Order: sequence, then structure tokens, then C-alpha cells
Amino acid sequence: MTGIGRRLLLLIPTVLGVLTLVFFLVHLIPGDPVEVMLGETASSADLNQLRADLGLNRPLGEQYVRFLGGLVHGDLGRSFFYRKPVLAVIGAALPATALLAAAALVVALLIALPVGVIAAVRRDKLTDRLALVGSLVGVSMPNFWLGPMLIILFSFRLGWLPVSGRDGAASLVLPAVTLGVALSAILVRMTRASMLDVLGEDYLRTARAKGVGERTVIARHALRNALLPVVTIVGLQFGALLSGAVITENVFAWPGVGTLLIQAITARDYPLVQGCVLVISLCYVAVNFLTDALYTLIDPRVRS
Amino acid sequence: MRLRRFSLVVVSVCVLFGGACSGSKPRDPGTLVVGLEANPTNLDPRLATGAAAVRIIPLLFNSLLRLDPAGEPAPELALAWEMPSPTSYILHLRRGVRFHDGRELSAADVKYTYEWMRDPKNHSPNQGALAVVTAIETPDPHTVRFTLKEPFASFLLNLTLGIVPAHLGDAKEFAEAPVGSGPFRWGEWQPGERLVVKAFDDSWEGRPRLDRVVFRILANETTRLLEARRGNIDLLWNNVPPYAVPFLRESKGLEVTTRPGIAYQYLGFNLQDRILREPRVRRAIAHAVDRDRIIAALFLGLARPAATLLAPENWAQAKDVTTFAHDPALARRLLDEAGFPVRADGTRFSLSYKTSTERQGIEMADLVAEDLAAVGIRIERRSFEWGTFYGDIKAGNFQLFSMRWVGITDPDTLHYVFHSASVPPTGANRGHYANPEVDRLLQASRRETNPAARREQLAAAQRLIAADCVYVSLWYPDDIFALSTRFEGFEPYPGGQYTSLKKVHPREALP
Amino acid sequence: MARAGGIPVTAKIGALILGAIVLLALFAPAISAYKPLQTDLAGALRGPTGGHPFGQDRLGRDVFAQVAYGARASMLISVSVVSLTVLVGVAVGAAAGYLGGAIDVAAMRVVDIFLAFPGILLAIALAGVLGPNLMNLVIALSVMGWVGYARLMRAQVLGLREREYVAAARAVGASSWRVVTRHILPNALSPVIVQATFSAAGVIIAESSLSFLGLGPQDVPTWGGLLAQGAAYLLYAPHIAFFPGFFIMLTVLALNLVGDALRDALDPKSHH
Repeated sequence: MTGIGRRLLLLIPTVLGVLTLVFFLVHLIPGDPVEVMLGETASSADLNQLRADLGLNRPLGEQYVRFLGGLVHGDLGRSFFYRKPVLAVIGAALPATALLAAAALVVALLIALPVGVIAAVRRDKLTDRLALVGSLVGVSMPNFWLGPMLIILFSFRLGWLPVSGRDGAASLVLPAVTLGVALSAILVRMTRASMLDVLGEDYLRTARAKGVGERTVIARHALRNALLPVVTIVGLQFGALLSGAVITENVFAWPGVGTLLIQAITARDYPLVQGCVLVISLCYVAVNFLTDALYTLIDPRVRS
Repeated sequence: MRLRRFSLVVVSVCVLFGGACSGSKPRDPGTLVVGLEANPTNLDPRLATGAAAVRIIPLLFNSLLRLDPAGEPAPELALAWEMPSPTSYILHLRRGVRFHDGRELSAADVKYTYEWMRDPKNHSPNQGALAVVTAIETPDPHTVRFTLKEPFASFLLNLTLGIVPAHLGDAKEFAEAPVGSGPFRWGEWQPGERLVVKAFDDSWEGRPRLDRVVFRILANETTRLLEARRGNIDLLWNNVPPYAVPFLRESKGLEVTTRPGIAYQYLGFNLQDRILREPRVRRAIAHAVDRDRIIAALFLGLARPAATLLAPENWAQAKDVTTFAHDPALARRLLDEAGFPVRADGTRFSLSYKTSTERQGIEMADLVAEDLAAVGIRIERRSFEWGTFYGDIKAGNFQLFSMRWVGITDPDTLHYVFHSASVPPTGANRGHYANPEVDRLLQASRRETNPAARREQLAAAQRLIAADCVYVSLWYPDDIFALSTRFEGFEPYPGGQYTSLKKVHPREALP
Repeated sequence: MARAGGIPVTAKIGALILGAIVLLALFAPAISAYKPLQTDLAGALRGPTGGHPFGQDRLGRDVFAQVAYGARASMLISVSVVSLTVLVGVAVGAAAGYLGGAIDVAAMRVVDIFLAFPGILLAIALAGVLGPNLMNLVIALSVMGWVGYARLMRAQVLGLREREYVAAARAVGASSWRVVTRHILPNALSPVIVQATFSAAGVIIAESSLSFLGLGPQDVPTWGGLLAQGAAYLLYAPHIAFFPGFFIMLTVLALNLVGDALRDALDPKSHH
């Protein structure tokens, strides 16, 4: 447990470092949010007034300290554009992204687990080769190409699925598939490799010798152990999943944090950008941490 | 194998489920679905900026005056008005107007709204425009008097801001569920996804014939167009690109209408630049650009060549300004005369041309670059994402750029754009144009209350601006909208507002 | 240990494809019938024809020429980025692994911070500050990419540090620098080479994503930029999106095939 506790403590400087980096980066981008907020008709006096009110005319260092201070109280500031607390704006968008990521994960697992297992069992036969090639192709396809192609096929030509937006269960399918395909490609190889490792193990031989059916051997013994590295990979790929979500959300008009982030960057909505980055980084760090912890707990052989 | 069969079953269930869910849902005939390209950020009329919000607000709020489709002030909450002196306006309010919560609207609400916007603590984007007002009085519950510090001919056009109820306007979360007196009232808002407004039964204009309007926010153009073609969206307005018109027309359920528009696209010059301050260079550039070719290629003919910022429909447009016909030979001569001969590498000089990352802007820039290359000017196109681009333009950090003025009906905009004192951030004279005669004319036209005299002053100013080639006037793109054949009655407003939705109704069935 | 039977078929195919694309990039001007930026408004959005085997884009420009020239941009960007990230990452990782102590802790904290960073944000910010062009795209992608090598190298160095020949070298009095460069690095490089191949693939996808978002070089044709145009006109002219997307996929596939083979040859123990 001290291992986990120590790791938790190490998280703090990481997150702080991320925030600092983002804070300064966002403020260094040219373009003035006050001007964009007040529009064309603002006089210099108005602009300066708003700048003063938002604290934007203070030295950068002071703004930074204030920002950190607010964080400690759980206050992420108010979004310049929505004129609402950042936490509320992100809170409204977060469930959508979480749902998309979860669905993509489900899709990825649904594809990768069966295919990976079969490929391992039928090693070096045609099925295996096809699976490997398929996974390579999946990983090579940019999702801003796959998305529109899927829309054209399934929504336009076949009319089976809705085009975009978040509107019931069916509208989740295409975005989840688009986002999940790349992940599934990676997971297929992982599952296959790990199954191959495990299939040769002694305890399996013992089970087979005892007369347990092949299917049970695979399902009960092999699969469970093969899943461990898969769990790790999923955690590690979470960051890629989030990045992929940004473009996928745009293609499918999915109202999540990714879209919010891009809009906020374009609008120079500093508090919202910082808030989104904080949330995304925290998610990533949390998932990594959990993955690590899960792995340690499940496999007693692994201690770092 | 059990696993394989299982996966097959799962996949089939998903697809079937999906298919069942998406099949043509029977749609409520009183609901109209609009496709929006951007998320309205704030629906409080005192604070709203951003086209999406500004175009929807007239559905929820009324204003003292409104602009009719020709851009002229027309009565809305104010039935009549008079000007006892050049600096004072008295407006008489309509009676019997109710807010969505049932309370009656009175002059006190008008005063409240305008005072709120004038208060610097509130940082309203409309504060600057109202700086000219010194006092707002309400002699009785249906009369409002504005006193100005100096005559301002376009003041009436500032009275098109939505009126907010005094008894609710201070609530912190007013913007989350705004209450106004408009023909539609608040329904629900899922930011980034959809906005729903419902018909207001007690509207003074009569209940709209639609029950609900659903605004779906779809940033991606491909998905928006596909949804329209599939019949899931009934109205696309102001976001239909010209090349999508034949595509939409393929659907029998949609009717695509194009009307002449008043948005004005132009090439801006930095008049402080060493090369561009020479008028012959600017005129050469104007002659080099082949507008007809670009209109045919990018707009498929759906645009009109422009010569002035104000569109032909505007009462103040000057009709006889200098125009610059496509004439590359003349352009080359002008450049030679201006002292920029062709050098050894085949070019005379290079200019940077900044655009945003909007696709059409980039395509246009590439075509303009070709036209200019033909007369020996090398163009370096630089595209930036909007925030950076806009910042550069305001800071004067550019040589050439292209932008659009949208929904300009007030000729006072000329002052805002071309007066020498209107450099950013005060105004939009980004090129730092300074012509004392133009200044004098524009300044005079602001105070001039005689319409004929004012018109002549504005015309004289426009002639000078055109002759000086401050901008290269490009074109006015047509307004395009696509409406489902299940509805009729939509009128495009020059500012892009959705106001006419209050008149839209399901198409009567043929007997 | 090399696999029985020599180079696997998949690797050969991968190498062949890669070779073809490199040739396409090198000889783009000779192969294309049209210049990539030459407009032909009459043929706007026209599909593949004899004269234009990949069709024409919105302004009538030849898509094949743009794809060929786009290969140049992609090759240039991926070679630059991979070189930069390997150099920086290996240096940092080796230093952290070998020297240990405070340097190690500091370096790994920095690595963690970069890893927790949403890459897109960094890239947009840099492109915004510096301007969207080839050089800045290379910088933005390099800043994102070096951390993987740092981690890898550090792990390698940690493992090799305690080997006998290293101890021997140190006993003889070799400086740290010499020990690292002469004895440790050569043995640690195999996974780096494998990783480099895969990250070249990743860079091509990242570059095309950023070009897709409008942050890539503006003055030369890029696969991502062309794909962005294709996505806008997907409904009327799918060929504009299809070809660059197909070539991105092909290149990345080839790199992955070659990378797989390299891994099996150089580092058969890792299944990662």
C-alpha cells in the first residue's frame, strides 16, 4: 500500500506541472479574449475595465498565483464566454465524452477480445494473418477519414444509423466505432500476444491433462491471465483515446469536452481551457494510476 | 466457437437496435428543426455577442424597434416615436404586451434594460454604442424618452436590442432560462447540442403557428447537410455553401431558395505599408482581380459583384462610384508607373495575404493569388485560426487580408470603418485610412437630420472611399436557405436572424 | 535470432510499399503531369479521368500531383521529427538512467508532465504562437514525441548499467560519457530503432491530424490538408478524401509491417 500511497503523492507535482505549463502557454498565444468578448464596438476604456475586472492586467505571475489559489478551493473560475462557472460548463459536457470513451472501449474490446483469442488459437493460419493485417489497417486509418466514410456508408447510403448528434442509443454507434477501431487494432495484437504467452503455460497443460475441455481451458484459465496486459494497454492508450475523441466529437457533433476545448482555445477562454485541460489530465492520470493499481492487485507477481 | 457466435450475436443486436431506432420517426407537424452551425453562447440580449445568439434572440425578446427585411427601422414595442429636438427621442409603447411569465411590459422595463447595458460594471458589449445617451426617462408607464449628448442620426438603429423584464433581469441565472416578451418562450437548452423554444400563447403578435422550434447544433457541415437531406432538419439558413445547393436540391423534401444578400466581402489593405500606401498599386490590384471568375468558381454564380460596403438595397448606397474592371494590362501599366517594375525573377514585389482557416477564404485567396501573379505580384498566403488572425488584423500586423461585413444596414458603419479616428480598438479602420474630406463628410452625416442632405454627404464620402481604393470591393454573396417542403413562410432577414420563424407554418395540405 | 527462412513476406511487402512512396516523393515533379497548385476551374471537383487519375479538387488542381508532393512533406516531417525526438529523448533518457539521482527524478517528472498533456493543445498553441508552417509543425510534434524515447532509453540504461563490461570499463577509468556512448548505447539501440519506425507512423498520423485542423504548412500540399478539403466535399467529390487518406493508411501500414519485422529480428522478447 505504501507503493500506491507514494505514487499518489508523486501525482501532485505532475498535475501541478501540467497546469503550470498550460497556464503559461495559453496566456502566451496571441489574441486578446477581452477584445473577442466585447466585440467591435468596445472602446479602450471598456476593454481596460473588463481586463481589470477579470484580473488580466495583473502581472502573469500574480494571475498564476490567483489561479492556483482558486484551485485549492475547487474554484475553476468563470468561463469568459458562457459567463458561467467553468466547473458547470465542463460538468455538462463531461458525461458525453465519458459515454463516448466508454462506448469506444466496449467496441474495442468486443472486437479485439474474440479476434485476438481466435488469432492466438489459430496461430499462423489464415485467420491469424487476416487478424493481424486487419489490426494493422485499423491502426493506420486516421479517424477523421474513417468517420466520414462510415457516415457515407451507414447513414447516407444505407440509412441504418443517424448521421450525428447525440440522440438516443443509435447515435452512439458510429462515433464509438470510429473512435474504437484504432484502439481495437492495438488490443487485438495485445490479446493475441498475451494469449500466446499464456497458452503454453504449465498450469494449462495440467488442466488439459486432467481432461478439462479445450474451450473451458481457454475461457476460464487462459483468458483471465491474458487479460492483465490488456488492462495495462487500455490504461496507457487512454490518452490517445481522449485525443482521438476531439476529432471524432467534431465529425459527429458529439457534445463533449473535446469540442468544448477546441472552442475554448479558439475563443481564448482561458479559464475554460485551463479547466478542460485540468479535467482531461486528471482523468488520464487517474486512469493510469488505477490501471497500475489494478495490475498490482490482480497479479501478485508484479511489484514495482 | 462459442466466442465467435457470441460476438456475432452482439454485433447483430447492435445494428438491429440501431436500425430500429433511426428509422423514420414520425415527426410532430408543429415542430420545426433548425440546423445551427455554432453554439449560441449567451441568450441574454444585454450580453449576447456571436452570430448564433444574436440571430435567435429576436424569437425570445422584443425590442423597441426592429429592422424589417430591407433594413429599415419599423415599430415593434414602440408604436410611434418623435424627435422634439435633435438630441431627444420620445417613444410611445404598445400596450398589452406580456412577458412569458404573464407580467405586463412597461416603460420601466425598457429603462431598466438600457440602464443596465450602459452601466460599465456590467460589461455589456452594447455599452459603447449607448455612450451617446445621457438620460433615459419614463414620464408614464408607456412612454420612454432618450436624451443624447449630441445628435446622432443612426440612434434609432440602436433601439433594436431586446428588452429584459426588470423584475427578473438581476437573477444570477437569468441567462440560463431567459424570460422575454417574444413570440417564443424558453423550452430547454443542452449546451452544444440543442436549444428548444416553444410558442408563447399570449404573444401580442398572436401565437406563432409552430408549436416548437428545435435548434440542433451541428458544427460539422457534412453532417448538417446530410441531416437536411435525410429530412431530420427542416431549415438551414445562412450556413448553406453554394456548392451544396445542387446536392440539397436532389432531395424532394427540401426547397432551396437563393436571394440577393447584403454581406460584403472585401480585400483590405494596410495603408501604412510602404508598398500599399501608393494608390496606383492598390488600383492595380483591384484591376488585377478577376471577380467574375471567382464568383463563377466559388459561388457558382450565387453572388453579385460589389462596389461599396453598403448593398444596393440600402437607401444610402452611392450609385455612381468608381469601379475597377478586370484589366490585367492596365494593372501592369499602373504598377510600372508606380515604380515597381518586373525584376529578374519575374515578380515586382511580394505581399503577405492573411486569412482565417475558413475554407472558402483560403480557396478565394488562392485564386486571388493567381490573378495577382499574372501581373507580377507574388502572394504569400498565411492562414491562421480565427483568434490569432483577428488579433493580427486589429493590431495592424498585415499587408493584405480578406474579411466580410455581415448584416450591415446602418450607413453609420461607414464612420466606424473609414473615419481616421476609428482605428482599432475604437473602430474598424484597420488599414489606417485617413482622408480629411471623408472625415468631415462622415462626421457631418452623423448629425444631419435632413435625410436628403445626409444621403448626399454619405454618397460623397463613398465616392471618395471608392476612388481611393481603400478596400477592393469583391462581392455580395447571395443568401441561401433550405426549407423542408412541409413548411412555408420563411423570410430571410439581412442580419441572418431567425425572426420570421414566428410566421412559418406547416404547409396547408392541398385539397 | 532471425526467424527460420529469412525476412518474412509481410516485411518485404512493407519495405516495397515504403520504397514506392519514397520514390513517389523523390520524383514527384517528374511523375506528375500537372503542377500541384495549378488551378483548372472548369474541372473543379471532377472525379478520376484519364488525364487526372485521382481526379481534381475544388479549384481543379490535380489530386495525384498533390498526393505525390504531399508525400514529400510527410517524408520530410516524419524524418525530421523522428530524428529530433530520438536525439533528445535518447540523450535525456540515457542521462537519467545512467546518472540517476536528482537528474533522474527531475527528468522523469518532466516526462510525466508531458505525458499527461493533451498533445493537441500543445500543438495548437505552438502553431498559434509560431504560425502554421512546416518548421513549426516539426517543432510541435517533436515537443510531444521525445518523452517515449526518454522512458525507453532510461529503462534500457538501467538494465545495462550493471553489466559486467560496463563495470569493467568503469574500473579501467573510462569517463561516464565514454561508458554511455561506447558501451551502453550500442546495446540499447535496438528497441529504439523499432520504436522509431513505429513513431514515424505515428508522426504521419499526427501531422495529418494537425493539417486537418488547419495547423499544418499552408504553402505546400500535405496529405492532411488535402484530406481536410476532401472531408468538406465528401458528399460531392469523395475522391478528394479517399486518395490522401488511402496513402496515409498505406504508408503507416508499411511502416508498421517493417517495424514488426524489425522487432522480431532485433528484440524478440518484447511483445510490446
